[in-house]
Amino acid sequence: MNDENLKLFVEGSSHYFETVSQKPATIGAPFLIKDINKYLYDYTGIIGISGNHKGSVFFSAPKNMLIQLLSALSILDINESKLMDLVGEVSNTISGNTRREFGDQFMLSTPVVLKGKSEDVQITRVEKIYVIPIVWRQHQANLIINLE
Amino acid sequence: MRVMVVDDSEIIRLKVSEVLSSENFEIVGSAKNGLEAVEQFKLLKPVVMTLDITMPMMDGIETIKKIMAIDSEVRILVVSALADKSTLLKAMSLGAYGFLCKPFTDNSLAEAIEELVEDLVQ
Repeated sequence: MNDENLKLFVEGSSHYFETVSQKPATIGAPFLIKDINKYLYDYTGIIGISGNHKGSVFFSAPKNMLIQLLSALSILDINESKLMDLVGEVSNTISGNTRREFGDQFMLSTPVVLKGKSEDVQITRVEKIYVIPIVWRQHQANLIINLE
Repeated sequence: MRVMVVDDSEIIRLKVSEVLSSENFEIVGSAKNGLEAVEQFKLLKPVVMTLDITMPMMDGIETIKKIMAIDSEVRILVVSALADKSTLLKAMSLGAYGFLCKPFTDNSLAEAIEELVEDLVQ
């Protein structure tokens, strides 16, 4: 991942929150991490990437952020299933949007969703894993880029 | 006008249904993957379908092929996060009528659907 590649994920995160909620998010500068588990919140959507890049993209958010985001989407009757669905959909949307630059050989899996902090996240780790911090309505979430 | 909504995300199915209902479309069914969509399409015979691309079991591209083989007159609006030109061109060449990139606003969805059926309502 180079700076230009990371910029796509920063812009994609900003675009997502602005579009769905009309409330902009504050997107922080990407930084390198070693242990993904320290950066996970209550729910995490994971997209597996294959093709011209290999690895995975995580979007991890606290429950309260997801509840507010569902409200912004006018989704009523909030339950566990919808929280898990949403976190997967956010990870899929931000990842999918980057194909505008990466092209159709940036191949995405359907989302896998985790609840809670898991010590059992088994992923193929790349040399450099980045976190992009996202703050929306005072809630902090993370986009984690684990890509070659 | 009869609409079917296809997306593996329940939230997207609910959101699309809500917006289109408010625009006086009749939501006749929904499906969470391409296989379900093809089966329901045969029974429900919608005029319009909104269709995701990245789905389990059968993706949107394969679904367009199957649906077009059943009824090539259906108007398919692809609603997908996949923002590359190649996916758009592939979907359109197979028979999709329009393409809306996620994330979308209520207005952008309503406009895309209105454009899709403009000539049908005149």
